[in-house]
Amino acid sequence: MSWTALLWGLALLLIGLLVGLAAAVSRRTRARQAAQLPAGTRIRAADLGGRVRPLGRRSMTLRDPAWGIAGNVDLVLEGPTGYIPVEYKQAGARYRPGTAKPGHVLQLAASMRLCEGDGRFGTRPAEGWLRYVDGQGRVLPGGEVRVANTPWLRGQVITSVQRMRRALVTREELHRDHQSAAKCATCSRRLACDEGIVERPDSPWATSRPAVTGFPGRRCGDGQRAAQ
Amino acid sequence: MDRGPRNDPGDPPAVTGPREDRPDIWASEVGDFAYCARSWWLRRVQRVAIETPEMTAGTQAHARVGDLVAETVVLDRVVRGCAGVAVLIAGVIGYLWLVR
Repeated sequence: MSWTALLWGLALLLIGLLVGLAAAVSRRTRARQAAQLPAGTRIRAADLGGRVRPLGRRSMTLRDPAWGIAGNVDLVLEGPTGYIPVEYKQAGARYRPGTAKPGHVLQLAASMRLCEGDGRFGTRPAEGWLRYVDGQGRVLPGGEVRVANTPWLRGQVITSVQRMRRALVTREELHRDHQSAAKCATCSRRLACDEGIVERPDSPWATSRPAVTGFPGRRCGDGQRAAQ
Repeated sequence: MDRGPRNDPGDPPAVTGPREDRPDIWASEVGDFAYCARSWWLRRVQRVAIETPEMTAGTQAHARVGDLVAETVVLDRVVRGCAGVAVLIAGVIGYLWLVR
């Protein structure tokens, strides 16, 4: 084969590669837009499920040995300001754009602590993001809430963790600590709870009874039905 | 960025003690506990396991986001791979052109 033919062959291969590269860049840009990943951020860990697990071992459980907490953060991005934990939540019927539920904020705060305490990351994130999505996984308008990692929030997390741990160690029974009928109506443990606030007869939940497994002894909702 | 975990002056003290006296708490449980202490207790201590339609829908929504994220990761690798090979071939062409 002559030099010229070899050079022409390589040049054609290069052109083909560049065309493929341009197509891949274009498709990657669209994919990043669909996933709403800001420019300049890199995915460092993901634990979202789905058909493909391209990150392999990086889909991992984070642990903070100092506070004794663990968890699988939905997504950890690395941006100019450091690591950004992202938690995805499906928006419920009571979703309000631009707001986040306190429990979701606290879970995100725990995820931020995990990024700090886990040796594979080891840095304190400045903020974390909550993203409320629809059934197709699309972030809703106003569905991204950025939460600053403040000392107060960290204090809330450790206070909760200490109360939970005390209950686990002492086997103390914990009781309902709110007066919200709406919380009880949407609680996934409502059928197993004998302290629930009695639902109204016209509640849609009255006809939507999920299956209960693993509940020792007591029948679901007995307390509520007896009260009625 | 600061390396390693640390407690600020205003932070509560870190948990210490033997492992068996301080079982791991999961980040998602912190959210459950904030929602309702009894709901968390039923799940963690009483081991009440309930699969509601809302939870199933939430898992499916997570999976869809996971598919979108996975696509970006795979395409990122394709782009890097193509770019690397293109640079290599360009270098070979340049070298052959010079030594021809």
